[in-house]
Amino acid sequence: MSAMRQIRSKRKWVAKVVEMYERPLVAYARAKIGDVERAREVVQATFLKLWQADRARVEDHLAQWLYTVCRNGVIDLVRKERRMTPTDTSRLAELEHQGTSPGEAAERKQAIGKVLQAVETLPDKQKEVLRLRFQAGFSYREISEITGNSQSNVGFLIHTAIRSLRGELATASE
Amino acid sequence: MKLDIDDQRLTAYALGELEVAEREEIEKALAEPENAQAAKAVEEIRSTAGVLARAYRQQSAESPGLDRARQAALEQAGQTEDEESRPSGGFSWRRLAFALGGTFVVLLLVGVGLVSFYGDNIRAMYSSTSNSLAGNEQYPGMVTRQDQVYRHRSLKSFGPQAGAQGYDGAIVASREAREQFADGDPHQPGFNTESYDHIVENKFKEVAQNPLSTFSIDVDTASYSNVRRFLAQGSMPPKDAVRIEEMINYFDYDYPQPEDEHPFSVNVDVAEAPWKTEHRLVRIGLKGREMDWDSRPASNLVFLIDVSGSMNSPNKLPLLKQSMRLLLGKLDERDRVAMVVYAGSSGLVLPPTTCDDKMTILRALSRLQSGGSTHGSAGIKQAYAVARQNFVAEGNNRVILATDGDFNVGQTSHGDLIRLIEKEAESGVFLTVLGFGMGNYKDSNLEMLADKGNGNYAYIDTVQEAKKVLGHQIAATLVTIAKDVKIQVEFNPSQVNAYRLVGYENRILAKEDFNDDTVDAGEIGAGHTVTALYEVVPVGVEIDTPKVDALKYQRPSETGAAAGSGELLTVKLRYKQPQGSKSRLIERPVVDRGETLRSASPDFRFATAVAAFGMLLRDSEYKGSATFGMVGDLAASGRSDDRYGFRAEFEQLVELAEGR
Repeated sequence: MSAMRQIRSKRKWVAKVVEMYERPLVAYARAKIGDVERAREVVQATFLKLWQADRARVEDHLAQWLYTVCRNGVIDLVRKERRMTPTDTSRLAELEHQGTSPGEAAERKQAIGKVLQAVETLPDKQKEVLRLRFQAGFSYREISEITGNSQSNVGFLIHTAIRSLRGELATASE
Repeated sequence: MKLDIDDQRLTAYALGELEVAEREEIEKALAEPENAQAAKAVEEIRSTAGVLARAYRQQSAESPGLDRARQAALEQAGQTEDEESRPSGGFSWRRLAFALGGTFVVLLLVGVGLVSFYGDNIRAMYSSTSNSLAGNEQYPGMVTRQDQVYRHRSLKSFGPQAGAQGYDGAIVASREAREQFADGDPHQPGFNTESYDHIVENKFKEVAQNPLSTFSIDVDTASYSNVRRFLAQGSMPPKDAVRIEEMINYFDYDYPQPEDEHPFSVNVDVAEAPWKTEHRLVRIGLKGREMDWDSRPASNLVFLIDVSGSMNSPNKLPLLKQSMRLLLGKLDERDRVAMVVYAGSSGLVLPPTTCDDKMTILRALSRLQSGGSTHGSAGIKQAYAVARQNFVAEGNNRVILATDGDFNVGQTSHGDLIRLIEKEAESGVFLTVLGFGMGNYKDSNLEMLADKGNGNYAYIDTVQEAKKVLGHQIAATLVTIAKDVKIQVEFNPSQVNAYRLVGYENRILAKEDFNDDTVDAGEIGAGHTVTALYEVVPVGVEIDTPKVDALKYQRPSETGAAAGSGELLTVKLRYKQPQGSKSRLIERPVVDRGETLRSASPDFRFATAVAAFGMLLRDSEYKGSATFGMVGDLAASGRSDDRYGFRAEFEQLVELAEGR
């Protein structure tokens, strides 16, 4: 992103990166690890690593770098704690709303809830590649680099996941 | 080749992941009738993909970010790691750094709404609807478009993009596409489906060949608030989003009230063009008769509200509701309000209700929830039907359309939508279009609707803008005092060599259209000001215009007696009464008194500042010696009466643009 490349100061650049990526990364980490606080731990550690990284080398594939580091951070944390809580749909109820009416919040929960509830029933590996593809927008190749799966494996996981969801979501609101 | 509906390649194909050879193979196969099932499967995959992307995007936007403690800790870490190199200063570098510094702090405090630095008032507006920073809007639901977007940069709907503040699934998914935008593009790449009609700037025309210039007036202001939105978010607006006339018309100017029988006054002044001082600038200003809101005619208003899924984010439906509430505060028992929504199915959610019963109306408003796809044409038909059924003679009958413009044009073709709105406009019901949102903002649709529908068009990016359009400018927004207003200027060839109309590119009319009352043009609301600028090349100053061959069957026309009058030009206007069908004519000759910028009015200087700003944002070939610094100086010298601070805000925008 050229506009970001033009930011000379590393401090300001990192601030901009934080601003852009903190929410999706926290969402991503939270989906893997279960709760917000630990997700934030991991995401902060990711950004701290960004500080120490060589900007010129990271900049070219910034998103991929962030997600990879974040993912590894989750794995490390879990290894340290030796457990991983499964995500549960009740946390959807915690989602913060800013300045919306109860009606809007409820409606929104309903729509997201249905789709994401269906996703929750999928195996972890499928869930992860779905998120990397449709939340973060990575290509098969990038997903394979982040997760360590082969590209054809990634394709297979996504194919299977979508096939499972297709029927259920065919009637979901657009 | 027969394809199995469970073939993994179908998914890869649907998501744009196949290499060229394989993709073409599958594409060919899908065209075969034997693979109809497989083709259907591909559609389902794409639709599922779209739903997933939307769901994740939403979740991402609502996801908490880092807490304040951690953000502060990160900043601390930054102090020790900082490698910032500050070049030794000139004034402009300091300002740049200062503006960037302000940006940095506020962006870190997103969601907290702190205002502390210069240039932050604007961003404070945005941080209070902080989720608007969290990202792009509606994934179009069809991955196909995404594929095309990656491969064809020239697609109109994929303009340079700004709304990618929050990272989400909208960011380009393949390295290849990212690289397309890696260089030289001051705009952030990202997935965006905003659409703007392309503008080809008006060129200089020789008076000898083109003595008449004809155009329709325009009171829309959407382009200015849209440009403001981009700049406040830290990006440059797409060039086609910059409509100079709308930017100039965003501001009120101090023209006198009309004194005669016409509903608006006509004021013309002439001075130097700051970006090329050998050229003159002619400013034509119209001022609509002010109306005391309390003595307004009865209103019959139908809110036509887009509640489709794409309206879900905080800077759309919630802001829309807030805007409607503001409007409601200005209405009373004289006025009747009805509400039609369109999404999935359309429906009358509130029958016409007089505004002394605010509770019923507010309740209907708060019950609005988004979901479903946009069935715009059905909604439009229904809203107009309700308006017609409750038509108030001599009153103010209007449909107020609130949307992000994202109609499912699959249902209705673009041309059909135009014809529909033209037909509905014949009923004498006027239209106000209020645009909301970003990322999939369909400016081109909305402008077209307002244009064809006898309407005006504003872009509501913040509550402050809602307060302007529906608060203190409500009379102008809602009450039309003259319609089909056209301007025709005849230039005097003994005084003028060539001229150029600044802006109004999509409002140009043929010279015959001026006297043709069947040709539609713009509307003026009570108290509206409308300003148009011509850049004029006086006789004696050279200009390079394409040469036209001498005519074979006619001799060049001679100048008439009036050419010796010393007049620079004559401005003619035609307008109709709001419910009338026959136009009336106003004529004003204009003499150039040789004013300089310094002797011109502050308003004149300010208008030229805005024009120059627009030209810089478009990187116009006519910008001459204009610079952001010049714009800032002109604006400052044109500050005069700035009751609501809009002019001060403009100066902040100039700083932001300069710093990009």
